[in-house]
Parts: sequence; C-alpha cells; structure tokens
Amino acid sequence: MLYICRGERVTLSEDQVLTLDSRDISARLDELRNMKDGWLDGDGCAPGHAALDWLASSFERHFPGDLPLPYMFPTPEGGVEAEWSIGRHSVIFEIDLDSRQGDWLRFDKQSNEEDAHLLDLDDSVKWEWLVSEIRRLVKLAE
Amino acid sequence: MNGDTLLYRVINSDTWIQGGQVASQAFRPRRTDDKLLSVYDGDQIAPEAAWFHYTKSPANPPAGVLAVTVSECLALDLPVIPDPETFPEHALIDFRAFGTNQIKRKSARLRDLALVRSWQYRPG
Repeated sequence: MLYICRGERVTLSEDQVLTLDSRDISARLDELRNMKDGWLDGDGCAPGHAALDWLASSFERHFPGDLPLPYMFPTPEGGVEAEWSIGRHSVIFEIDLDSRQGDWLRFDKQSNEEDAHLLDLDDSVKWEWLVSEIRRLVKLAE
Repeated sequence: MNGDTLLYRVINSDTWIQGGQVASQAFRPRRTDDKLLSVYDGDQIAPEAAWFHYTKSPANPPAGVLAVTVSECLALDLPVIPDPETFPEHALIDFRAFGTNQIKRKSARLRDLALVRSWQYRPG
C-alpha cells in the first residue's frame, strides 16, 4: 500500500499501520482545500488552493520536523491561523495568504508578557527567526 | 445571571476543531461584531437548545457548544451584557476595551477555560 506522508512516499506491508500526527501540516492544509466560500454562517472566504500549496511547501522547506507542529485553522478572511501552546507560552500566528505576511503574537499565559512581529514569509530569514523562537520556547518548557 | 452562570458559545464550524483542539478564534469577535461576542445565557437555556436555536442550515450544522462562566470573563476584565432585545437568552461578552493583540490573548484564555470544562453539547 502506498501513502504520501509529508511529501514523501511511504510503502507499508499489510500488517503495518501508519499513524499520522493530527497536526501534520500537509494533511491539515489538504483538509482546508475542501472548504467553500460561506463556510462560516454564510460568511467566510475559503483559502485558495494555490495559496495553500505555497503555505504547505513553505512549512515543508523551513520548519524542521523535530519541533512541535502548530494547529492550523482557517480565518474568516481566507487566511490561516497557526497556534502553538508550548509550556507557559502561547503563539498565535495569523497568516495572510494574499500578502504572504504573518502576524506573530507570543504571550506568557501566566504573566501576560508578550511580543508581536509582522513577518514577510517570502523571506527565509523571517522563517529562521520563527523557527529559532519556537525552539527557544521548547527549551524554556523543558 | 451571576458569576457561576454558564455562557454557551456555539462553535460554528468543524474546521475550527483539529485533533481535539479548538481555534481561539471561536472565542474571538469577528471584525463585523464590533468587539462583542455572542453567547447564550445558561440560566435561561440548555446547551442542546442553544445549538438548535443557532442552527440555521441542517445541511451545515455547528460543531457543538462550549461554555465559560461569567466569573471567568470578569477575571479577564471582560464584562458580560445581557442582550434580551436580540432574543431573550442572548448575551454579549464585551471586548471593546481592548486592542487586537489583547483580544487574541483573551480569546485563547477563554478557549482554554472552555476546553477544561469540556463540550456541553455535540450533535450526533
């Protein structure tokens, strides 16, 4: 049996079981392809397929597999919001698929200390910053 | 309505649920909502009845009902306003004192509190 997992072909014999992480980004963004305009009580734009392709390949290219994957939710404006909860920190990363910009908000759930940044997601340096921040939060949570 | 009153929030879309997690957006007013989040007053309606009241299209039903209490909202400096003019059981959680990032933070906190309480109603 042949599966595609995180962009790679995986062949399983009949007695092997493939368990996908429920936060697998490619699988999740594939789910969002089925959305239609009006998905939110008659409002809500569905994200475009080409834009979802771009986002999936961007995560594939820039986000390492050893870090916690975000939950991914559609926004009423046709974008995607990624959410991480790492130790005492939460991250809400709102991605505008048209402008390819990400609105980063990290906050400490106990102290409410926060930082916010607008990231150009066509710039690999900004992805490196995002990855380094997630890695820093993971280390803080250990 | 008192501090222990449950405020039922109907979760509109299955796409706001992933692997047991719920989008913080589900507890955040939309841009068209004037920073007021619609909820049902749990002293006046049961969660299943709130879900049926909310359901507009049987072909595309809401995902379920979560709840926070009035006290939990007040602890986040979010006033709760009865709004019987819209319909008798309607109430509003008022985010108007806050900017975008604070609203995101508070919506995530409400979501976390609601998930600790678990689903009040899920269809099927």
